[in-house]
Amino acid sequence: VWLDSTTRVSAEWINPEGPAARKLGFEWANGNPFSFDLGGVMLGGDWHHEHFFAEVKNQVAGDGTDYRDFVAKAMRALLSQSARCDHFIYISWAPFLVSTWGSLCTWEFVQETALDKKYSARVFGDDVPKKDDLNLVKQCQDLAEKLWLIILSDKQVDFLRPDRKHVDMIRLRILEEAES
Amino acid sequence: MSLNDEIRAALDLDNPEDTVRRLKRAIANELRILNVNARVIDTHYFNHTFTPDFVVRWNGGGRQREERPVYLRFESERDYYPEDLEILGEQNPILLGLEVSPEDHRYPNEIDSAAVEKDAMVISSNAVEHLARERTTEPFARLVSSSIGEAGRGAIDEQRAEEATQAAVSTFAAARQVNAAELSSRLDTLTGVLSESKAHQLSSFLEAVWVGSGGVSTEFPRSLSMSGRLTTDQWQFLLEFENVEDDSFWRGLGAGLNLEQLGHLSVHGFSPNLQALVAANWDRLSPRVARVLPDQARLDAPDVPRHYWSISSGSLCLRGPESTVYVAVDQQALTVDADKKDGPTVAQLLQRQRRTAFDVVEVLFVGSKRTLDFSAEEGALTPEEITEKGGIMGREGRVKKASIRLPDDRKLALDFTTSTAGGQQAMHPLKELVIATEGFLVDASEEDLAEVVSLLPDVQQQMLTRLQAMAPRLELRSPLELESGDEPPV
Repeated sequence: VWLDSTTRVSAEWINPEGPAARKLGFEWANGNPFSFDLGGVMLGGDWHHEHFFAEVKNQVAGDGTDYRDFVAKAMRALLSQSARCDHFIYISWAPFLVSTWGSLCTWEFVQETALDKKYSARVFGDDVPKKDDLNLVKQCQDLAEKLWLIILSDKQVDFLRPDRKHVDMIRLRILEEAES
Repeated sequence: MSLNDEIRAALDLDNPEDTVRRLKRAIANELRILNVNARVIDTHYFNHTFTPDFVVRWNGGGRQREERPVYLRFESERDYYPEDLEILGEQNPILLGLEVSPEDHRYPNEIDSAAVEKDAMVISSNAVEHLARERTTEPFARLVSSSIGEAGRGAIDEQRAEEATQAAVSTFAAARQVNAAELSSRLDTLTGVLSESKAHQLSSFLEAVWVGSGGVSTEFPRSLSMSGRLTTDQWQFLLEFENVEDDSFWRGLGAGLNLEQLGHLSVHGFSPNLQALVAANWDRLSPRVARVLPDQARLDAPDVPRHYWSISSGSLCLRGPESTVYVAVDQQALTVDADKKDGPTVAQLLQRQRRTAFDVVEVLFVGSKRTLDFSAEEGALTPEEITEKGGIMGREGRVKKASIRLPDDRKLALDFTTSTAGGQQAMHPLKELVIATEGFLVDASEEDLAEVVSLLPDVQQQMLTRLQAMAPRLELRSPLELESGDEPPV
């Protein structure tokens, strides 16, 4: 609801357990499946109609494990189906890894996570690249530019929820465009 | 391919945009089948929290525009429907749940009550497909299907849609058979899926059918006092329903019938029910204007009469072998353009007058060099006066305009150059307007005029009585017995 309320995205695919599974699901290098929580398209501006995947965490581990999992998933998704991977959005209700907060969307953080033993075989399979592999660096830089990190609060979510007047205004405007 | 198969096939596509496109195309098609009069507008959004996927818009009668937003959802997310309805508010939305499984899932009471509270409809794609399929089979179920599309309310799964369409068939049959017990037992199932106003409208329709079939209004279950007129959809249904030859049935239904509503109906070729409807209710139709246009020779079936009522260009019209008379409530509603012609000669005017026996009270003659407007000081112009004044114009003289007096003493203007009778002001009885138009503006034979008269029951008797009263003055036999080619004395 919050993402749609921004009016700049349309979260078309939600719940990877349901009919949206094929749209949100990927496979690790070892063939095991994984999925993002939701996905859709960006609306307006330079990113109009670009695809996004998002992970939503209400309760997060302070050590950033969930976020690292997300970055590893994003890396694997980018390597396997880059055409649909324009943006990866991580939404949390609490900050984490606060001492390194500024580095969480850098290519170095992406590289460190992808090459972590916990993830590397799942992301790359048998051919895990070396740290100084230029292609790897480029892929990590590419992913770092696609990462979004958003911290929400309940008040913000509730306040941004559109009321009837806004819904009607937006609906009328969109209908005008659809008819023109 | 069923809608269910379409949904699954769309979801199997790799590209999400292809999936959305195919899903929405399949749903839009079903919505169009459900409500054939509606325009389905795609907003290019999909499964958005508060932006609809489609807006379905239709003409709500007269010039009123009505619409409902349609929000696509996945049935697997049905637990969130009450929250969705809360966000969407009072915009009368349709929440259409895409069902991946061919098996229908019943909606729990919580979803139904949330939808009723918000005047919304939650409907599964399986139910939509059922209703769209019913449109192509049972005639009254078709009317109910489009009613649900326009004004469905509550949670409607496939089973409930089936129950509603079955109830539609049995309540209509019960109304025709004046069977109160059967009607009473099924009416709630039918009206329970509709908004209060639509439920009332549909009940009024059944009551009208009940009364038309010989039932007493006060004995109709939950009598509604028949306040509402039948809707365009309901008339359309009745016209397409099996042929009903009972005049009293059509008379009983036609209390609120008007020309504007008739013009919105769609009739192709010869409709026996339209003939019966007009024959039983022509005195309730009050046009101001009629216009004749020439036609190509028709290729109708052998059993189709030479003259019959039809609906074309938004107007009730009387089709003849070589021309069509369009009637309308006013000039603005008359959408057919005039075919410019020269007027008749004086002799032709007098011949036409004899056939119809309407008094001519004013004539505008046009010659090569001058025009002459000539009106009766009192009463009517006699044939001798018309002949004398017309003679002044010479052989080239034509009658451009005339006024005749109808039996109700009102004048009717005739414009021979545009083949138009009437104007903006007075309403005229349909029968006199059509007879005057056929008699004066078309060079109709006595045989054709007699056939037109026969389409308007009891008009023939009135005409004969009137003509017999006038016969001594005009020195005529019954005009319907005149032989073709008779010329008046010049």
